[in-house]
Amino acid sequence: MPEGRGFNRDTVTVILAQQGDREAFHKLIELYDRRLLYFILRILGDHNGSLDVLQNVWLTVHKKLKKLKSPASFRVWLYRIAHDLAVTDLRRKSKRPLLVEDIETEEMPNDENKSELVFDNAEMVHVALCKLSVDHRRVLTLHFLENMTIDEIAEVINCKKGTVKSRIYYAKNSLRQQIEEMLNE
Amino acid sequence: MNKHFEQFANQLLQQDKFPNEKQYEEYQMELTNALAKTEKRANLTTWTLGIAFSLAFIVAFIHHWFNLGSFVPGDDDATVITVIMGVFIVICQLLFPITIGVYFLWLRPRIIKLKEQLLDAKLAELRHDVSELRNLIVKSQTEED
Repeated sequence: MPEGRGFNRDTVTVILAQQGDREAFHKLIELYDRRLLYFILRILGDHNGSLDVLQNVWLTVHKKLKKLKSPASFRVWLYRIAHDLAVTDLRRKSKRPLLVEDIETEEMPNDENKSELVFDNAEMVHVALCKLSVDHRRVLTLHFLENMTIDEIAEVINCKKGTVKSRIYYAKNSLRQQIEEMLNE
Repeated sequence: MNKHFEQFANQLLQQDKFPNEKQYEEYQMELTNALAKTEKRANLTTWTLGIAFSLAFIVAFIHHWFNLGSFVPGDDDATVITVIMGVFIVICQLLFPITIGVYFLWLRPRIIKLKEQLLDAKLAELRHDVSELRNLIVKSQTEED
């Protein structure tokens, strides 16, 4: 799984792909394809539509990869493209579920340890994720799949760090609530 | 990266289960049945409206032509027949807004929505076929390599 920071093996792969190495580009696809599909699917909710968007993501990446100035930030750049294309597709279909209102920056209590304890079961998290709003789903998907930092998530979904912080906080609360309900049933 | 986290992410990825061809067919069948049923109801509603309107018009015309008397039960020139005619016309007049409301507020939007869903389902099936084809191509290319 990619680290996202620093000059690592994935950065080398990105640089090689930028220089036109087809094998390196295939490697990038192999590395991110499934996780991107999972992320897009959490936004769109339609498997086949998500596959179309995924294909467009890779086409866009292929077209614009040479213009990427910082290969180390490839992961965030890639997710930003996927996010933008998925949101555009969602708007085009006019099936956009209501997004939660932006909650302005507040100091959130630190709940890291608690969440790690609760969100241990991937199957439950997956089912509970479906019941959250799109905004909550996308921040949590990036958090669970890529372990992205607040800064990185803010860059992907194009909003303020404070908003991301509060969304993650409220999303985790909702998720915990959903999981608790599932456990009680 | 944390090994536990990596394992969790991988488990999360395993959770997506995609519909198969049979499920697409079943879904399309459900939509087609629902559409047929709603169209039948819409037809029935338009016929009801048409018949109610025609009958009310005919009854009012007969009543006026033969000058049969008042519709109001208490009036001097009211008879059993004119009162029944009056009740019939009132029922028909009540049916106009009801049937129009049912048609435009419920049935028509539902038909439009079902047609859109059916189109989406057909597109989804087509996309599914394309993705299957894509997988087959990738598989055959890998085997060739």
